[in-house]
Amino acid sequence: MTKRFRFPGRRSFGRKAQDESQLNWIFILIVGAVILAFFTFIVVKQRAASEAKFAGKVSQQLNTILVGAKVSSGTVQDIPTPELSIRFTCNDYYIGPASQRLGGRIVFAPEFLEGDRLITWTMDWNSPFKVTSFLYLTSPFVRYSIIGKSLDDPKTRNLFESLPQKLNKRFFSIEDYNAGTISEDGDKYVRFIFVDVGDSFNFPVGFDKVEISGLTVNTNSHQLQFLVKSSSGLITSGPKYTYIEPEVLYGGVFADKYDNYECIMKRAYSRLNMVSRVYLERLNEIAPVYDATNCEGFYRNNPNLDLLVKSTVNYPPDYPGVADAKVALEETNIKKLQLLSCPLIY
Amino acid sequence: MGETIAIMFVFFILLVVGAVFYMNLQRTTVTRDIAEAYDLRAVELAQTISFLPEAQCTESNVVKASCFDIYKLIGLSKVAATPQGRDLYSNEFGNTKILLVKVYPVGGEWTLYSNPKANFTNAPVTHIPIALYNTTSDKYYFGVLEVTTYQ
Repeated sequence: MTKRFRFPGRRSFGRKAQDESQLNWIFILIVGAVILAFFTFIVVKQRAASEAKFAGKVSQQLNTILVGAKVSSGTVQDIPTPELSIRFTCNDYYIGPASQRLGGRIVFAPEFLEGDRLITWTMDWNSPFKVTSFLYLTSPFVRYSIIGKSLDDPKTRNLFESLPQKLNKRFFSIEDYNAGTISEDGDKYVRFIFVDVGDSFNFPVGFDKVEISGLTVNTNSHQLQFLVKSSSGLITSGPKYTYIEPEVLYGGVFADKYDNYECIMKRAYSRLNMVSRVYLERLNEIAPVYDATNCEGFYRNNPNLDLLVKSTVNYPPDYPGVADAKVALEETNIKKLQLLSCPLIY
Repeated sequence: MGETIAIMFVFFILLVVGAVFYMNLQRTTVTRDIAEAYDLRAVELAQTISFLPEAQCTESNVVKASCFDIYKLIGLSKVAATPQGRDLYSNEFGNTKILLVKVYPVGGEWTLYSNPKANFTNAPVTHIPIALYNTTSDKYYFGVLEVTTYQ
């Protein structure tokens, strides 16, 4: 009590210093938190930006690879990539936040591709002249199980052997499938291709934890239909699609969603229509030169090319019309024009 | 307190200067990356066009490398000008102009496709030498494919 009377200023000075020190600490805490938040914000933003940049770079490089693969027809390439996940739709593909347009390219691939390797396979689509190149994309982590009536079935074996050696593929009989002797072998995704063995199938034994899908092919009617996983097994999804050339069938093997396949084939047939028109115009241009020669009659308003154009105006195309025009054009090109030493149609 | 505030002020000034410098650096990198992407796109496009089945020379469906059939080019330029053709090729080629010029013997050029961008900032041209084949005279000429990519 006495101290209070003797040194009133000392107490107020000490209290002021104490208050200031407390204020200092609060200030430091606030500023520290602001600085910390600022740097955390920078780190998070930078991380997102560098991920987006990486995805953009990879998608750009992949685009270059796809363009290169498209023009090197008949080749199979096993391309190492960074560990990535690619989502394919009919018109674009996505790697993380980055996307690239596929443009006019015909690319058949599963909707999701994951892993550190890509397998590309390029095939020319001739109908009967080259229309475009089909690019098939997959990864070694996708397994293709081809299932036929028996291991000796020639049509199933033919399909199995026509697929590239580099593909992760196996050949089984429907008996093996029904008996549950097929194992998953650690694959992430298994695609079952049933050839001439029916339309719906039991759920494969031991594949509960693996992603599966399927395709059923009828080689007699030249039709294919997509299969999806359900509680009861593999059931059909989407309509039946007709194929004329094996390249179109391979498209069904590699694409795993019927709507994607349909959209891609729509683009392919629209391209066939356009290329046929170009050939028709070309023949009309050269026709006057060959009037009154033994080549006359093959070029002006060529009926087979006209049929091909008319058959492919809409999707689905008139398949019998396309097939007939193809056969007739092949015959004219090889058996007639070549023999008469006339310029070939294609 | 006053000193601390002064130190913080200087610190934040330095931070802002650093951030501005870094952002400028990033902007330069992004601009360069965009330019590179456009260049790459032009090369890819040129490659795609060189392998167009509706323009390539073929003999019994066997493709002759780096050769365009003149009559196919005439047909292609007509078909690409139709609404359906424009639809299909704009999806494939985007904002570009594809011109084929016959350089030897001189004479003849075909605009295979033209879809320029309204307010383009740059339009680099890629030249690709190509052989031109005349089916009726069975002769080869020399031409250049000019691919203009609008940016």
